[in-house]
Amino acid sequence: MTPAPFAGEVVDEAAAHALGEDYVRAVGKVVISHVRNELAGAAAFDEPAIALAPGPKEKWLACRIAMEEYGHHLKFQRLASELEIGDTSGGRALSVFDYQLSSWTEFVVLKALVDLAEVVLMEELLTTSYLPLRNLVVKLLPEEHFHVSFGKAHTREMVKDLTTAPLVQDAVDDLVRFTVPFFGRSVSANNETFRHWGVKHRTNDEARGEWVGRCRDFVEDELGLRFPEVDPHWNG
Amino acid sequence: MTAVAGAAPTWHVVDGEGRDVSTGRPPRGPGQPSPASALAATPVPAWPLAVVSRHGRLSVAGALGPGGDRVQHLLGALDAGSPFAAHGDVETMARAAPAGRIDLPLAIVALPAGVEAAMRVEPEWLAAVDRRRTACRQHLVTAGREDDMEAALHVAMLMATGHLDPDDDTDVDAHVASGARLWLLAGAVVSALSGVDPDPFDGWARLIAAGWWPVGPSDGRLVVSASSPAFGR
Repeated sequence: MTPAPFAGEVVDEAAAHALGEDYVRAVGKVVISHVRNELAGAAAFDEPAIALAPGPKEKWLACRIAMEEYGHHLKFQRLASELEIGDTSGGRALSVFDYQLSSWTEFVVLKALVDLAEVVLMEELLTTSYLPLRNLVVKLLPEEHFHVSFGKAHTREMVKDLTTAPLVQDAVDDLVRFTVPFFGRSVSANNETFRHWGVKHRTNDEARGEWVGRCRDFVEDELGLRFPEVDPHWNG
Repeated sequence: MTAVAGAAPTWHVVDGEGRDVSTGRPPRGPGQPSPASALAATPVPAWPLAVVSRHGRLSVAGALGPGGDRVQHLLGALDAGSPFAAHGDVETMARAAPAGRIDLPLAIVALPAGVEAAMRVEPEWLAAVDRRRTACRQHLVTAGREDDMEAALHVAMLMATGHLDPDDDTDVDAHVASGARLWLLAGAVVSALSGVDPDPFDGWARLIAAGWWPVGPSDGRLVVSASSPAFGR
């Protein structure tokens, strides 16, 4: 590791390998986390939501969203393959994917809040030093934004209904709690390495704080619901 | 590839030129233990595809086993994407619906009207289509062919990533149409692979490959929709 943070841009996989294996490992960890999580999200939430949808339109939208998340998994996998990272199938997805989805209400709140966490992480990669990753994220973000806007629009509709508003509040409480670890530990050697190489620029707590702020604005200001107390520090 | 006496063959997915679809280079290194697992592991959409080992080459049809020829034909049609020109062709295919023939008046509509119609599609009919999908899937699982099915679906979804992608990432109607076509395409792939004869999804699969969205019975009509705002212009 060089003493000063790396401030350059890395144009392709050959340049990444020329910079050194520490750099490739750092980029690789970020890419692999997206390979796993996009697949885990599609399998744990989006595919089950197809069966939970209350009508055909919602069902088809859930299909499309599942397809897009799976497509993101494939595109990150291709990036990993080009970088010759090796096996991306090991390890486990983040704990948020342990959430047991049981209703359409939970799904739309999940899209509004948990997919916003993915958006926050992806937006940071718009300035990553590894340009193929940056370029991929530019392509994927519009679809991720669509997922969040879908979730927000349907959540707004549900909160207008007095019978479903309490269910929305329950889902907010549960999903916020599940999503806090999504950004990683406050003290993280990985995050330090990512920032050293310019793969990321924020600490995990800064990213978590960004997500909390945007979620709180939506939940309190747009939905008129209570946002749970969240400690931006998390160490497992 | 290097032949290793006594070692089990491993399989790679290649494009029409024989290049590994992941790398664009001749296949090398360890592959997958079976033709189906090789298809299920490929991360890149490409067509045509084949799988190779040191023992030879298999088409997608050969790699998937019985019914694989029908899946190959379906995916080839999706890749070619040639629209039916004649109204009569659309009508013939549309009436041969997955849950049985539909004799309601045919309405070919633009995308916004298709989405409106989809919201009022007959629930019993939709449930019957779902049961057909489930029955085909269960048939394959019972026959011990889950790996073949997952491989076929994986390749279909790879191709659909590009072919059924809405042009506009903010267009809700186009997303609805795309999702519905994906759902039907996945059903069609499983049905084709199951070998059920006649294939109940064949007509609608051809409509999807040609760029249409067959919606179903809605408000006393059989609705077929454009799949995007630009389709048919």
